[in-house]
Order: sequence, then structure tokens, then C-alpha cells
Amino acid sequence: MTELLHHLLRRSSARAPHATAVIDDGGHMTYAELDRRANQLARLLLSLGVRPGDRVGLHLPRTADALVGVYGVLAAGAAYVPLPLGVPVSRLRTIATDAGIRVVVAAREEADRVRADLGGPGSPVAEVVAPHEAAEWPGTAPEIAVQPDDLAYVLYTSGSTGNPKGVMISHRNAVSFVAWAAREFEVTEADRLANHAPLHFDLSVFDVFAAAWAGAAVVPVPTTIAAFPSVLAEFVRDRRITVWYSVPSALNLLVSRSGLNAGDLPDLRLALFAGEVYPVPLLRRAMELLPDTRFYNLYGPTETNVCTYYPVPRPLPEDCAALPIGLPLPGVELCAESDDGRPAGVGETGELCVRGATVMRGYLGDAPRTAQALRPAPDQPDIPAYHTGDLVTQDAEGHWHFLGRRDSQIKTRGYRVELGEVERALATHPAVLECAAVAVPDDEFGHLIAAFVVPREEVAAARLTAHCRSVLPSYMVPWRLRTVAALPRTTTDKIDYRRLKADMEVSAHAQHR
Amino acid sequence: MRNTAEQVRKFIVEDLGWGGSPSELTDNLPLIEKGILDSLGLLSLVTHLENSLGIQVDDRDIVPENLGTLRTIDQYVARKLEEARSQKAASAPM
Repeated sequence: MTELLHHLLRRSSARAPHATAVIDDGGHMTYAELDRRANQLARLLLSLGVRPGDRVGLHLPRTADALVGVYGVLAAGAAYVPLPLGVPVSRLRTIATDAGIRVVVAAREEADRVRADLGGPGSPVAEVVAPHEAAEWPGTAPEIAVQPDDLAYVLYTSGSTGNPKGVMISHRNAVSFVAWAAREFEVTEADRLANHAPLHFDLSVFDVFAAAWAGAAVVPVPTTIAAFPSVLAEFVRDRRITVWYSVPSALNLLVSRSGLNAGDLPDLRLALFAGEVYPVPLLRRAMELLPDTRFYNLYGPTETNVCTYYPVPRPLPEDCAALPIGLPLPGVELCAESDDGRPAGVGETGELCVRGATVMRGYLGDAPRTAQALRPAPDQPDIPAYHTGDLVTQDAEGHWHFLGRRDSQIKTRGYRVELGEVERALATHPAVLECAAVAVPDDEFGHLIAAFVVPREEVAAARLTAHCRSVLPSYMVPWRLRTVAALPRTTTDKIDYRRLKADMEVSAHAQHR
Repeated sequence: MRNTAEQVRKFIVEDLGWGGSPSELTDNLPLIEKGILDSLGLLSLVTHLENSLGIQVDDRDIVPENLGTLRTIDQYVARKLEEARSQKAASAPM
């Protein structure tokens, strides 16, 4: 079995050259054509001096060209670094500098702007090329030796210090996950995988490479369609998407804000979600609207690809309050490290530590943070494990459960509080659709807890506070509770806790006492 | 017309925290393509319009033809307000 991502494409291209690899507004692109165009781009990149191990930036819209970019960079023996569209130029410059990106692949009409935005003094970016510029190069694969442990891509995630950090994933890391996923989810050449997540979000790794593994088609979802739930549902139906993978909020918009009736998406056989907790009442509704679709909860920080999975049982038991994150992937070992540094037993809480083939090589150019994140867990003193910062517990059946973030643990009035616990308490109120709790530093109390609630129906904030008082010790009851239309999201669709916190700090200074 | 568009501009800048200035939000600017509204921003805007103007936006009305630009939003809102007015007139006692 191959352990190189671009060999998945080559293998499918050799086996079924005329099968469809990508469907976008430009039509169908076959595996043979995708392979040829990737090889042409690889040769262009090599002619510009790109060498194995280099990082190449990808600043491309969600079309077939994005896949040409991904495979072109890999075929040149380099690693791709997504430079997302629609984010501030200053952040892109930070990434380009941190990753030492010399060459950027961008859409033809964007190339001049990207050159102006990212090039210039102090920037490593020297060349900006468009995929189409490679058309004159031969379409055969360049002979470049790539090893399974070589870097395949670098994904930037927000760091707790405020500077983004580059997660380095090797071919072996990615293929271990992709090969498992393609088998577990029985992906075949008859499948059509929607690509909803942007390339800088690791959910895209499944869409892009599991499709190539199986010779299936990838269908990138244009952002203009993704924003309108009813248009998106039509898109999923008309393009006959069979596999969907996104954060729960996006899946939920697709099924419950689109005017969908049960059975309207008969081709959709699989709905995978990850990145956040899917509130159980919303999941129940989604499962009713997609009666023949199998649902899976996948879990894993970017640093581990996906490390656990949980097939959602149908029907979902009445007493299910929160979904488990499930069982580890084959070849992945988990350990929960308790506060006093020993392996947590069944039913005890600890920080999840992950070892195995899917775990990253480290943070690019940041040995101290790598050493801090990758260090032995108490059950295996010799082998480094990624410390996730997520608190988990294992039940008697072996399933793992996510409890909250370690770093959302705060102290208020001397008490230790997990903000996840405040959120879970709020979520048990019938009028609460979604909520988030943040802690605002306070000289007098250590922290003050603030909560943001998206209500399902009109409800007074005072009633929700009263509910919290009825289920939580008083020190855990939010000091300020605000109802909002929606929670702010990061570019990867996760709840933007940083922004909530900033909002609350501003109003705390204005209104405090 | 000015009122709705102005109100939406203000909402985008003040409530959604968009970084640019309101004057950059021209009437025909495609709000989704330009990344000014994403799916959740769009739903926040819908809720805001419902609450501040007392209109009901059906999930099926959340399409680019209605909500793609400030101009289409303005036209959509005007239509919904007109509908509400005529319904009110029809149900009013003679």
C-alpha cells in the first residue's frame, strides 16, 4: 500500500483514467486530467527552484484548481500551506514568513494582488504563479524521491499565545487516517464527496484524499452556495452528493434551515461531523430529516488528524445527553493523564494524550512548543504523545467522552470551574439552542463568568440565570448573560471564544460595578 | 430605500464586527462573494431584520436573489413590508 498522498491520485489515474475526479462549475475533470495538470504544475514549481521539503503557499478558490494545486505541490516533493481567502493580509504575511514560503500558487486574476500583498521587503515570497501557467509543461510525473515521513502539508491553527502555529503533517500521518477512513466509510468510485471545509481546515484532508484513495469524485462547495441553506440543499441534491463532512453547525444549517423534508436527500448515505460538539436535540432533528443517512462523530485536534470515531446509533437512545467521541482509530493509542500525572482510570477525568501514526511531527520552526505538546504520557514513559488539552473520561464499555477544554478551567472566587460545565448546564434549558461561556479576568474575583445564549424561542435572560441558579453552585452562575442571534465563528466555523471574551471585556470595563 | 440599506450597513459594521468602513459597502456589492457575510452572519442579519422591522423571513427566502446585496435586501424588505401592510389592511374592520 502506498504511503504517499500524491500516489493515491496516480494509482486512481492509472486504474480509471476516465473516472471523474472533480466536479465544479467548469464541469467534470477526469483522474487522468487532474494527474496531468498536477504533474505540469509540479514541473513548473521545480523550474522555479522548489525543492523537496520546501513549503509552497496555496491561495486558491474552492474549484478543481485547488486540487491541482494540492497535488502539484506534493508531486514536486514539497509541502502545501493553505493561505485562506478572505482573511486579513497581515495574517497571511505572518504565515508566509513563519513557513518560509517562497512560491505561492494563486488564481490567475488574483496573482498581481497576491504579489503586492505578500511580496516585498521582509517577505520570503518571491514568486506567484497560477495553475494555468503550467500548461506548456509535460504532463508526466517528475521523478522526485519522497519518503513517507516527509512533510505533506502545514496547517496553521490559532495558538493560545495569539500567534498562529504551523502543524506539520507528514504523508504517513495523513495516509494513515485517509486509508482507515476510506475503508471504514466504504468509499468507492461511485461516491461523490462534498468538499465543504476550506483547505486550511483539516476536515478537507478526508474529502480530497479519501476520494483519491477510492477513485471517487470530489465536489467543492462554492462559498456563495454554502451561505444559503436552501441553495446548499439543492446543490447537495442536484450534484447527488453521497458523503458530507463538516462541523455540526454547517451540517445543521444544511438540514434544518433549508426547508428540507425528510427523505429529500436520498443519495446522501453518510454524514460525518467533527470539530465541535453536536447538541443532541439538533442531531436528533437532523437524523429525522435524513432517515437513511449514517452519522458519525469524528474527533481529533489538527495535531492528530482524526484520532477517535463514534458511529451514531439509530435510533439515538432517549437518555443520550451527549455523544461520546468513541473509540480510537486502529493504531492509535489514547491515555487520559490525571491532574496528578497518572493514567486516569475508568470514569475518572484526565487530559487526553494521543500516540500513533496519525499524530503530527511537530510545530514548524517551534521546538519549545513541540516539546511541550509532544511528551510522554504516564502509561508509556518512552514514547511522545500529543497532549490535547482536552479533558476526557472513558466509560466502562471503552468509549471516550469529551468533557471540555483543560484551558477553559478557571478559578473564580477561589473555586475551580470548567466553563464547559456552565455551558452544559445552560444547554439543559429547553429554550437554549446554543451557548458559550467565557471567563473575564477580574481583580477581585479572579474571573467572572459570562454566557452567550442563542435562544430557540424568546426567553428572558433572567429566566436562564434563574435556571443556572437551580442547577449550579452559585459561584458557577454567569455574572452576565446575554442572548444573541448567533455565536461568532472563526474561519473554521468553530465558536470564536476569543471574540466573545473581547466583547465581554469591553462591556465589563464599561459597566462593571 | 436609504433606511434599510443604512440599517444593514450599521448592523454589519457594529454587530458583526466587519473591519471596513460603512462607505465601502456599496449597494451592489456581493456580500457573500466578498466574504462580508458568511452563513452565520447571514442568519444573524435575518434575525436582526425580523426583530427590528417586524417581518417574517421564511427559510426558503434566504437566497441570493433576496439577500445577496444591499440593493436586493432593500427590495426584499420593501416587499415584505408591503405584504404585511396589505394583510393588515385586508384584516382591518371595514
